[in-house]
Amino acid sequence: MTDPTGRRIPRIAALLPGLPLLLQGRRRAGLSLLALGVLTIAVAVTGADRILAAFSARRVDSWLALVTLLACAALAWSVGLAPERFHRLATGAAASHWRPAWREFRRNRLAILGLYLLALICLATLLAPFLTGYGPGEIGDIQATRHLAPSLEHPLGTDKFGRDVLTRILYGARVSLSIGFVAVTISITLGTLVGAVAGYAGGAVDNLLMRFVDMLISFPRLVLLITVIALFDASLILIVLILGLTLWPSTARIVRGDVLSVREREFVEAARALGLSAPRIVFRHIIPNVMGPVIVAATLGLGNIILIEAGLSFLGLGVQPPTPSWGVIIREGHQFLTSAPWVTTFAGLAIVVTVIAFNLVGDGLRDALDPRLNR
Amino acid sequence: MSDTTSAVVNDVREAVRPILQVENLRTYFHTADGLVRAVDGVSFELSPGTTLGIVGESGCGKTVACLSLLGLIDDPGRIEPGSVIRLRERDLVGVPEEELRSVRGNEISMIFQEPMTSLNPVRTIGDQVAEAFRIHRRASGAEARARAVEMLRLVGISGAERRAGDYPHQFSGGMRQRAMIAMALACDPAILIADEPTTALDVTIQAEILDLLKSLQERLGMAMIFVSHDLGVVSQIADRVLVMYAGQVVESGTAAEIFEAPRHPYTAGLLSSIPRVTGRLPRLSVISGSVPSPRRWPEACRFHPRCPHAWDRCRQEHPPLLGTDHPARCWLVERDEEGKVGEE
Amino acid sequence: MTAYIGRRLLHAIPLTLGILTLVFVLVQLAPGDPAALYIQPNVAPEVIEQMRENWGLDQPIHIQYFQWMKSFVTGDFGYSLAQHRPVTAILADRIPNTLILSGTALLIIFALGIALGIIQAVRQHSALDNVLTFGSLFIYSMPSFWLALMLILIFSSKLHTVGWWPDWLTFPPSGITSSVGYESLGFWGKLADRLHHLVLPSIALGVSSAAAVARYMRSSMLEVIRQDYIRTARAKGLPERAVILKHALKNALLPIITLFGLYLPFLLSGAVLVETVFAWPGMGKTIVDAIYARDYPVVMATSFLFAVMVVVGNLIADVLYAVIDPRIRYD
Repeated sequence: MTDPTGRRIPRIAALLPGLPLLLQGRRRAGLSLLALGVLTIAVAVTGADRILAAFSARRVDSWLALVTLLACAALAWSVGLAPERFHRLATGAAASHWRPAWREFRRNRLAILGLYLLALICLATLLAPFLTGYGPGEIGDIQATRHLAPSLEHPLGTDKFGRDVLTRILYGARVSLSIGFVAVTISITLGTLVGAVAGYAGGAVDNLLMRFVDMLISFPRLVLLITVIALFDASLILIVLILGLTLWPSTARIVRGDVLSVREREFVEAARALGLSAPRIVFRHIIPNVMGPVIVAATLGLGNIILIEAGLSFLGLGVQPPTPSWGVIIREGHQFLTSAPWVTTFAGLAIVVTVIAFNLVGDGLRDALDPRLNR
Repeated sequence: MSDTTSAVVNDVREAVRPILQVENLRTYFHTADGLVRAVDGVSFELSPGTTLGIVGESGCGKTVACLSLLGLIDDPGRIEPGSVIRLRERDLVGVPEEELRSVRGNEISMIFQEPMTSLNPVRTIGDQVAEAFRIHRRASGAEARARAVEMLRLVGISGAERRAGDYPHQFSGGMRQRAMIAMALACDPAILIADEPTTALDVTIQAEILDLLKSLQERLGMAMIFVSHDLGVVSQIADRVLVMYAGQVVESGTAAEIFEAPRHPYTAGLLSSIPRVTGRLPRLSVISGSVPSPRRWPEACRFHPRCPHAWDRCRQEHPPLLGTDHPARCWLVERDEEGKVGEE
Repeated sequence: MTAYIGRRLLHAIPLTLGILTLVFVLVQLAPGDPAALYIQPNVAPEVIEQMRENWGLDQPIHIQYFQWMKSFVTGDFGYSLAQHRPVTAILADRIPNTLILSGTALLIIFALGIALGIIQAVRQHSALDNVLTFGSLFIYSMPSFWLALMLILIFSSKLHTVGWWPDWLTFPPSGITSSVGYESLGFWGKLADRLHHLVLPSIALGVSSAAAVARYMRSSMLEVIRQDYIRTARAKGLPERAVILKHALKNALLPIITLFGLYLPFLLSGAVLVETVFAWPGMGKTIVDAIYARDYPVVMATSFLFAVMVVVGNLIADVLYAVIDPRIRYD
């Protein structure tokens, strides 16, 4: 490895991840790696006793955090030691037709900011057990610790049971984010399938499916959700399922529109002429060509679902206490809005930052992937 | 045909002082990726009642030159200081926007290439025709409407009264271009700029629009700048012709001169693409190569990479406009005038 | 235009019937006998009996279906289990409140969104544009109920403690009128009191969609400004103001009207939360209260009416579109 002036970079520099890359003049990659390395070290040092405790504690939480920390370290130092090999690996793995989109995406600073924010949020919630000394449901001496204003001990204050708000927000991210991911996966898969079938089949099938979509879209989402949840007395798993099952229609509409235009292109004609079966044409030739808008819809949908989940939980119809989701924290905090505003405020800010991150990435992806939209 | 045109032109040319004088017009776009010299030192004069044809391939700067005359250059474009656009006695370069607005559509009007998209789809034809009159003449709504109907009748739209209430999508392409002309002439402008007004139309409609422009000019006496990439169309309507290439004028003369005895190889190339029988023209059926990018015009003579006659000097030195009456930006002119002058 | 609106109506009627069927199917799919939904200890047996009769709950399913359709179409939504009065009577009280709140929010959404969008497009890439772009991203990413809570925190609680802050710029945190002394006010006093109560809820409900509309309006306007007919308008010598307001605006509004239809469900979802936070007695609060009370007839009727509002809203959007775009009007 050499720096821009051609001097050799000593191998010892690789001990600090990203340093060789920085010396090579690749600032963004270097700084990201450096940040990852420093973060890992900082967590390891400040949370040393908690990490040691995690080995003996037989809790999924702690193991997950441990694995994450090790993965961070492994990533930072392995990439740091041999960036070239990693770079080749990464570019080799990415299908060539995604590359122009990625190049476009990288140039969008706000989108990159969103990506970093998301990475940070995910790491923070995974590493939560090492970042804070409290448990999410840990209640100490209620009289002494209830509704404490933000301080060094409790950076974001405590709630009505004296629980640390920062801890609850960190753990709450797990609940809110995983609900979002699962629900979006369900709704995107379903939406893509329905949209592709409707668009490809056309005729009566298309008509029937799209009228159904029209019906579902006519219900305000939250109204449909609370109606269904009220009727079915839903558990958390069922709620996630219902979220996924009620949010697919807009994806179906987008996909159908795209499939209609892709269907007329030559390569589909060619596939049909070759005598390929309809499912094969749909899955192998059509769906891959409409993935761009689907990915955009999924990213923006994640932000949306987090908002909806928060709304549901705020109404008391979603996640049930004491499990901390952001909506639950706000619900519990809003009764004491004026006397302990920090609970509501910070939980809400967590939602805002997360949704902004998803929207930034989603907008960036749209600019990079969706040629129909002007900038 | 061209003989009669040239006779008329000679009469007119000596009769009156120019209404518009353009000197060294340079319109540059200062983009983030570098300087784009779209129009790079264009000069010409326009006499009242005459038609100046501007010919060139797309990308040669003719449209930008026309828009510059109206001051309609958007950021990052700019008419460079030192350019002169003299309308009667007044220089329009650098005057405040408000003053330019009183010129646009009032003293100088413009019609565009795409009649299909140049009219606002959500407003009635009559309303759009009347608008300039209302603004510049401070006319009342009723007066302006009457004027609009009058203008629509003038450009040959039957049932003008009724059609004034129609929307653009109810008009055919030819009728829309007629409406555009009515709109442009509503304030009796001294100059009408027609930027490829017939390019987007069918051949039969093209001829109708050309005839209309000619007869309107006879009746109203305005001067006209007629822009086209088609030398054949220009030859039917123009008195004098400018040939533009790479942001500059490469040849200018009367229509007859340009048509009968082109001096620049580029003009000759353009001519040979018109189906027409003439005597001795340089053999050049199609101009090879493509229009250079305005970001990087070729060094020295800007036409030399595509020119069949290029020699060393063309690659080293940028030619000025050579010759007096019928100048051309080509070293061949100098060589010809030194040696055997023309062959006519 | 009549033909066009007729077509849209022909689309809307089966859609409404479909929605009704969907609600029926949901009730049927719910675990247990649908009749069991209504049988609760606090409901008098006579009421249940009456309901069985009304809705024919002991009849075969297709008869039930037609009964159900008939009663909903004729506006008979059954009997509230919690409030012991007809659902229609409850909703008649609540619907106007939701319309007032949503209407005001819509006004904010479109007035503010369109104005900001135009400003941003005209001043593209200026500092103001960048600030507004980022600001709208921030606001757009806020949960409406959290914004509602923050507004209450600031405008009806914290600002009371600031000495110089004028009293009329602090706003009540709940209700549609003052609970004390409202009746003794004169007409103007009552109006002012109602408006005062309307401020925070309509802002909480409106601004996030306004931010979204501003984003769309900006890009729509930028698209229109590039068009040939804008150049024509400028070449006519129109002042820039007239070019934007008379030539660009109408064209740029077309996609925004479509947005009106798409945003209505979104707005009404928000209304459910905002009404709950502000104790605003509208349909949203009704459905939430009904769910807490397991008052299923009310839940069903309200969610059906929410969907009907969206269908009607879309019809209005279609008509508006036709009014602005002559290409559709004369189709």
